[in-house]
Amino acid sequence: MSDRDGGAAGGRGEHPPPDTRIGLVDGSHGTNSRDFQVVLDAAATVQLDELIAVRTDLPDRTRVTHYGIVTELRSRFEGADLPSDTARVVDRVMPAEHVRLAEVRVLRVVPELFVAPNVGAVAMRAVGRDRAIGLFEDEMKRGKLPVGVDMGGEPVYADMRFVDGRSGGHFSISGISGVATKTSYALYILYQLLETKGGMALLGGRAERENVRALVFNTKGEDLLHLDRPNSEFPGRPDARTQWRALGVPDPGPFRSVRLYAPRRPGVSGTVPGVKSRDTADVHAYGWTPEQFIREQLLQFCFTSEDDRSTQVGFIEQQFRIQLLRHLRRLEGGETGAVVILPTVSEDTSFDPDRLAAKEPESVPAGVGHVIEDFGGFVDFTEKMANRDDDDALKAWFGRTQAGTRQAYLRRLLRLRKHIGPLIGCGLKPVSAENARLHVVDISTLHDDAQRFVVGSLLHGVWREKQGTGRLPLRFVVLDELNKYAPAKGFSPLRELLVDIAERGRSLGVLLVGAQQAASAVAPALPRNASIKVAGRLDANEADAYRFLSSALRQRASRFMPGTMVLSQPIVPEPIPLRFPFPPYATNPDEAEADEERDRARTETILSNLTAMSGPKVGL
Amino acid sequence: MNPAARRPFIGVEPFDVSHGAGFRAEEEDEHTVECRIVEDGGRFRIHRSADAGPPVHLCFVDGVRRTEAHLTHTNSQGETITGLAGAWGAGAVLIGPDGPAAIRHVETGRAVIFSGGQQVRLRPHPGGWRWTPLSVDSGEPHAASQHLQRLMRDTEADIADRLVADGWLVVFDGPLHGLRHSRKAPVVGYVKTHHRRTLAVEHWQTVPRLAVGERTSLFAMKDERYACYIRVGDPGPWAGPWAGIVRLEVPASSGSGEAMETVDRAARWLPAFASAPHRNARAPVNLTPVAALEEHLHHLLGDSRLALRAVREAVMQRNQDEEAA
Repeated sequence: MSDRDGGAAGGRGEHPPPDTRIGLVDGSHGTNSRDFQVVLDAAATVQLDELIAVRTDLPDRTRVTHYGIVTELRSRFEGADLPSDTARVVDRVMPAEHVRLAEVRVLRVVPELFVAPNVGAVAMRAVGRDRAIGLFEDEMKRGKLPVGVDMGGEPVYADMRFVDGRSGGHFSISGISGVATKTSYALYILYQLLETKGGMALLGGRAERENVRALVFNTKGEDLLHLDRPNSEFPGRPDARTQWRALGVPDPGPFRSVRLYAPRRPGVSGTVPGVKSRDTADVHAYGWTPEQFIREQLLQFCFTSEDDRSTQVGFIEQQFRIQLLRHLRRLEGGETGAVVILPTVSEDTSFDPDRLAAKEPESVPAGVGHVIEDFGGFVDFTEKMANRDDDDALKAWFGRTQAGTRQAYLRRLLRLRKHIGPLIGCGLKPVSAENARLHVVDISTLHDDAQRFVVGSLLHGVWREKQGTGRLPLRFVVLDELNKYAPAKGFSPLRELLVDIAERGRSLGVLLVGAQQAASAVAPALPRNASIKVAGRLDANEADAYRFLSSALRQRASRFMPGTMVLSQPIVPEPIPLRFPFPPYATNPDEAEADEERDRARTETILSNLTAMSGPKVGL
Repeated sequence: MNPAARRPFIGVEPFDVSHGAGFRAEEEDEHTVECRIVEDGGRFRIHRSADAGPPVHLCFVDGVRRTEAHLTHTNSQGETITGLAGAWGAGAVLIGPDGPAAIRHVETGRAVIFSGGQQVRLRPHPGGWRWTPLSVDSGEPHAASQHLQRLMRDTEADIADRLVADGWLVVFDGPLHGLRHSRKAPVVGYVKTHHRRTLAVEHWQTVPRLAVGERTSLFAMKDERYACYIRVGDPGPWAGPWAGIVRLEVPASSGSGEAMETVDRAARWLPAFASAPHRNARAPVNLTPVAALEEHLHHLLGDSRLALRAVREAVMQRNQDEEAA
């Protein structure tokens, strides 16, 4: 026996429940107030990201508990100095001690004293109350949202104050396309908020709960047009059900309160939505009438591409937009949204676009001005105006710009005719916020310019509607590929709108759930203003942009498997890796469960039509 | 095998110079005792033993000691005697039937030893240091130091006894002579340095022909010991003829049959434990498990600077106590 003792300054006499003890705080390495090492017991199995608690008695008899998260694990032969010693130990030539170490990052100290844990203290798994305190759940007094399960299958929560805009808002989700599961994670958050009892209870009173809305843009295939259908692969994953249960959802299913929108079928003038994987009756065609296009000032969102931002084009657009409002009249005899642009209006007509837009236009017959019934008509009108010889009219509509600038403006508009054309027309209905909580808008078939037009127009609508109405009811907007709409550099109305939402949206209850491949490609205000930052698999080259992750986590994040994310929220000082469960709703056409009843009904309809076509049976 | 017998050549001693030379036996030496061959009908032979599979129930016992402070004791008449504060430790590396090589049976001690029969008691130090008060009657200058060595050897012997009783083949680092207990096989003394010639010259010159894993015939030494030479490892092409050769000793009390069986087993197994030159300053003869055990024991004795500081503080405390009394 060694006749030396002493040294272990703490932890003696500590008796944690036997199954939670994992080892002792390493005294050979020393501790500090930010991190420490645990020498693991021979029987302890500890993984990355597990939560650890260590109790330390201070000399003044205060007992503090350090809560930490395992950030790295090590294993070595103590006594082996050279790599070749390994074989000697394995061959039983050299005695050595196999030691396993867990590096732990301190998350929290309770009470909040900035001290280092005692070396030699017993380290235990933080379970039950310890785990809740370690993850600051006791601080989440205004509600907590289950944001996923940790690697041990236990739920992890986000403070609702940082989700609903009270103290913060907006999610920023980053990661490589395809493997980072950004959209899936955004949908998981929406499902928790909009479709579960627990989530709904967090959204405010009954009226606020009923009126909460989420706008989701579908950018890939027709994937998100099936969210209201069960996922056929879900029953084959019993572990997913367990995870949902851990997250407080005993009976997960498809989204129930959904409205789907798609642009009308190209080349067809009617209002049939252009969808392939769904019945056209399930999906609403969306678009804007010429009147809405002018009164909602959507012209500004036609000019959002890279080369529109540094020229006079924006100036002409502004001028032209106001003149349209001033000269706007409704076409008499119809509620289709067709408009007439008068050649002249009285001198005292206002130049304030918002006042003009608020006014209901008078109806006039077609003969008094230029009739616009679709986007093509609008482009024709612009061309007519640009080619006029009347200097006063040119100055009024295009400002004091050179003919070349006017031509550039016109050229851009002509290019948009094909892309934005299907979205503007008589009889089209815009995306409404009625009848459902989740609104999925398909923009996957649209050209980039048209995608930006739709996103800008709809966000503009949501933003305008929420001005002055207070935070509740909340509006969530899920937008993938944020870098396309709010790029890191440049200027466009859409970028400014998104920056404005990022900066002021939380107090107005407009909450962005934005996703991007690389945070560095997005206007810095967006990730900066997001309270909750989530990363899936990251590009190893890009990982520098994610300062909220420790370098070890950044490296790990470049190897994350689909479904593993790391989430950072303001009150928890370290990001927590987590997983979220496989969805019970279909997230692409292949997953959607076949709707047998509907197929049968359709077959019957076709059969009966065939019967009708073959004419009445004539008895011979 | 070294070409010792064929043409003149120069060898480099494999030991690091701080350890002295492994081979110090001049052929003509007044202490030379030519031992009697007790095997093979008195003819000196080289034996190659059959393979016996991996070692099981093999263990290595060794100890370390350290003088931590030299002390003096001056009585009221002004007479001064010397002593020391020191520590020792011993333990074993067990190569069991399965599992890794493990250090077990470790014992350490710390004492204040004065010569001239004087016992000095120091109060335990709050840092965890405590000393057993011991004395030796002799007034020789090295008596205290020799006693410390004795304490270590006794601890080693106790550990070896227990392991032999449990059926282990014990390899004891050092010669078997001077041990307190009478031994029986299976215990093997493992001698790394060669201080004097033990065999007739023609036999002695044959020993370097040993290949790794071979042994010579047993011969009888004084103190009831049988011994033989083995080559435990290849020391490298630059080495002298005796590099890599060690002497194994076994107690003669259990008879030559059991002694042969024991050295055969040891000769088969020990080459696997020979150390590598880059790893050990006395390679290959300083066995890897023994080196690791010594390192571990030194570590357990604690920091020598802290030990010296603790002795100083304890001595000051004692002087103050005496004054107060």
